[in-house]
Amino acid sequence: MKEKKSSEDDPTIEFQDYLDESQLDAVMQLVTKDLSEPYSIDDGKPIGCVVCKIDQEEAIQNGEQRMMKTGYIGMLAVQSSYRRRGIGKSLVRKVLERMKAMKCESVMLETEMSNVTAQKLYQRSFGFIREEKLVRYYLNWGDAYRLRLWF
Amino acid sequence: MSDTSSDDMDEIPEEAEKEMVDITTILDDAAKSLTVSNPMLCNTDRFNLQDAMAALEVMDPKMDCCEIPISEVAPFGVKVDDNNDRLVFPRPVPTGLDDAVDPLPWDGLTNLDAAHILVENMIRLESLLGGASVVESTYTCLYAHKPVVTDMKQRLIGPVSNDDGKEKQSMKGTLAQNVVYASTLIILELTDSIRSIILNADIYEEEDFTVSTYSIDVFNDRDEGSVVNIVANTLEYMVSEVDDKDKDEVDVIAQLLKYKLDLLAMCTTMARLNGGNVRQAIEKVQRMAKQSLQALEKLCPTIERLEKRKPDSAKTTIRRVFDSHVNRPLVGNAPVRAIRFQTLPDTMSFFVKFTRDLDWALCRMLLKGDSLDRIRRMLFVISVSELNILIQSLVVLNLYFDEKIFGQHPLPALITKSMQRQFHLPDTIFNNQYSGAFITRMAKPMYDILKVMVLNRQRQRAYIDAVMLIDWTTLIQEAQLVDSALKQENPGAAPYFTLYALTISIFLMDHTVALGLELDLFCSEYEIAVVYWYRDYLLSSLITQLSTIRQLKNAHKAAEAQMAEAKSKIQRGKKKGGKHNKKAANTVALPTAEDIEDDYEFLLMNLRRGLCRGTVRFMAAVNQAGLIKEIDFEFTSKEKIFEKRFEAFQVMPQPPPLTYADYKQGSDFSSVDQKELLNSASECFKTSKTMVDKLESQLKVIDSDFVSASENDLRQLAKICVGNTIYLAKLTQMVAENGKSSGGLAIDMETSVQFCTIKIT
Ligand SMILES: CC(C)(COP(=O)(O)OP(=O)(O)OC[C@H]1O[C@@H](n2cnc3c(N)ncnc32)[C@H](O)[C@@H]1OP(=O)(O)O)[C@@H](O)C(=O)NCCC(=O)NCCS
Repeated sequence: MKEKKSSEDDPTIEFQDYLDESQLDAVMQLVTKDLSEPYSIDDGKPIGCVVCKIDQEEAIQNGEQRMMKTGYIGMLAVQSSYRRRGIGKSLVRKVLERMKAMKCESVMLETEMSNVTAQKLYQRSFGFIREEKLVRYYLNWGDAYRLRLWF
Repeated sequence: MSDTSSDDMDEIPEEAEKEMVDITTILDDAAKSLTVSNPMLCNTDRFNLQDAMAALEVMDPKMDCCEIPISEVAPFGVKVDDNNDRLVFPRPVPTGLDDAVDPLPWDGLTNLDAAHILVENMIRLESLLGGASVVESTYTCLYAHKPVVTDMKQRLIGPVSNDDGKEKQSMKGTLAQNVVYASTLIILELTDSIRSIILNADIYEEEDFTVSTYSIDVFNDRDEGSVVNIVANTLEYMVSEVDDKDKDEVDVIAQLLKYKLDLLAMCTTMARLNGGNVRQAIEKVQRMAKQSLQALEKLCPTIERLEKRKPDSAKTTIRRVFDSHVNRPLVGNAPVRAIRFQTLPDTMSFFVKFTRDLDWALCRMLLKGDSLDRIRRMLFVISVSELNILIQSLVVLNLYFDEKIFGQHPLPALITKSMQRQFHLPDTIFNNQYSGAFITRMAKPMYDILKVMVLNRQRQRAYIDAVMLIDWTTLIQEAQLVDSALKQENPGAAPYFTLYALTISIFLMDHTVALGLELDLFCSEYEIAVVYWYRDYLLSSLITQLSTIRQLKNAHKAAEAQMAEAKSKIQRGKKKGGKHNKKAANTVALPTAEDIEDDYEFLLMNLRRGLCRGTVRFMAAVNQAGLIKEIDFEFTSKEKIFEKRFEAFQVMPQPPPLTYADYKQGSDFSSVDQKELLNSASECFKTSKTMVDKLESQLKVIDSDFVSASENDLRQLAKICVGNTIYLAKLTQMVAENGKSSGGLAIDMETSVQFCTIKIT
């Protein structure tokens, strides 16, 4: 699916892989503001970030157990003044492309039940489905959904 | 550490593995050399994200020392403005009432203070029942700490023992002091009792219960008997000491002490049921629960009044007695869940519901659940009513003990009776060795079904999908063998066991889909259409099986009546000239109360299927009208989503698993005329509404404890029928001109827990 106008075509925005901890403060600042887990750090330059990893997960298929590679998106955040320009979507797309190439069978993440924006992004734009409701999941006692995308 | 020491950290020299080296002094020296401008204790060139995450735990002072904002612990009345909200260490655990850091209110304690302390203790108790650890709930009350309780005890209780060796309060202190002591003890006792019940039942999840006590030092110089005695003495003391008994604070003290006493008695009794007098014990608890509920409901406005008039002196006391952060160092330095306390009105509502549930969900079920189908239905209703973990645990503890369900009914006998009733079968079928063995074999999976209903909905779903469906597949295969053996003995026998096991397994499949709907897991337009389509299929299959069972039952009843008629004819023939016995002739056994409950459930399933069917057609009509944008996903497909959603059903023999292609074909209404489609959707909801009305009228003749949909549930379903009919009419109007609608679409999942209203805006 092609977007009419993607942030990836915007020359003022550059997508960068994580290099080292010199970027960490900025990453922390981005995620601190909007996510309920407690990290705090000062000023920074990047305007959006996505943090993810790949795990081995146990799967049961037709009663048989086996291991599968599962991607996990830990954090996604875009600075508020840059939102709704497709940056969030582009970040997720980049991650999904890589995870698919790295032979993940699915990608998982958790999102607060109240975070309608994130759910819309994952569900509507990418076809993530709500797999589980996680009651009192967060440190602030907020409920969450576990979303998953099956490649 | 110096750069040279970190040449290659991934490669650990061999001798290092063998020999442990104490690096404390190296670290000490390195730490001393740190400056504010260069605070890094590591080689910054090699310090990566993972190291940073790990380091965060040891370096961040906020995390390391468990400091808290001063505003959180400032005395009552002291305002801390945002700029001065610095971090401070939490206060240490008090060493006694005369603690050096901040002595606890004691000499000047008033009855009003005591009343507010008891109320605040209810808030902390709710928090424990709501899943907080003991150190973040019970032990946020400073009186509860061991040195303080010991101190209170020394000051209030003389060394004298009365005849029975039990401690007797010498009533040395003031009433307020004795109340605080008694209340503290009962809270400690309740805390232990609650924990042991939940731990024993072992169905808790991380979110409903914290196992760790973080090694808090507990005052153990007590037992249930002595605590109950002390509280009872205090209540007596109140009666003799207080002149003005009408005062709100006196009422609150008396009622809350009594409530906690009753709660403890109810919990301990229900946790220890056994032996012959089970029913009497439950009846006693039920009476207690009903009385406590009444008292609590009466007390709520008094507490509200007391709270509204809370003077600053009481607020100061509360602030000194309760410290939410005192145990923070015990919890450790990792990020911890926020400490959360409910408001007072929410706390009281919680206890009102909790006490009602003790009666309704626990005692009443244990007393009234006398057949497998009734127990299943009661548990089904309970499973959607958000019980507290303590009540869930008590239900589980009492589900099966003394080798009987509820300590009263052997499970194989319950299964036999259920099958006998459902098919109207004679005993002979069950006396056969195969069927007897199979019924015993079914006991455990059947117990699992009952138990799973007590779990949280998400856990139910996970357990059914991952474990139970597979178990029941095996059972169906075994049932087929039993049936063929039976058929050899009795060629007229129908596959009773297979039908019975199949019905249960399809019921489970439908239940897990319904749970998904209740949890709001299906939300896109595409998924809504799919899930109701699949549920229609499951319900249809269930209805088919049940219809067969019902037909067999009617046939058996008719055959029985015929036999009776034949018998009476012979007898009439013998007794020549005897009076014609009209009654015996052609009398089919009248439906029992349970038969009527079965009919109700059968109609309910038809209603649910009608609503599923209506929803699928409505979605098709909405699609036809151009209100749904077809989306194709870049990284996944609708086929994949379909496959994964219903993956657990792949193992099931009946009904055969469906594929996305089946869905496409089965839900393709493109060849149907638009008007016809709209009409047929509308017809589904209208027929469903008629079924709702019929069910509603049946409620009058059924015991409300035995129905799987209450009056309230029916009201919700009626709204779904009416709402969808209205929006269908709106859509019909909109498309009248050119077949397309420019309106918007919103799916409302709020009106009913399992069904939706499709709103055209
Ligand atoms: C979620 C977040 C990363 C989205 O970033 P973004 O750059 O604004 O997202 P995009 O511009 O790529 O939007 C993608 C889609 O998300 C949805 N969306 C984004 N913002 C929305 C809003 N305010 N309201 C409704 N939907 C919204 C839309 O479906 C949008 O697609 P559309 O523009 O084609 O309709 C950003 O809002 C954010 O940082 N939020 C706080 C942190 C957070 O919640 N992270 C997710 C944790 S799981």
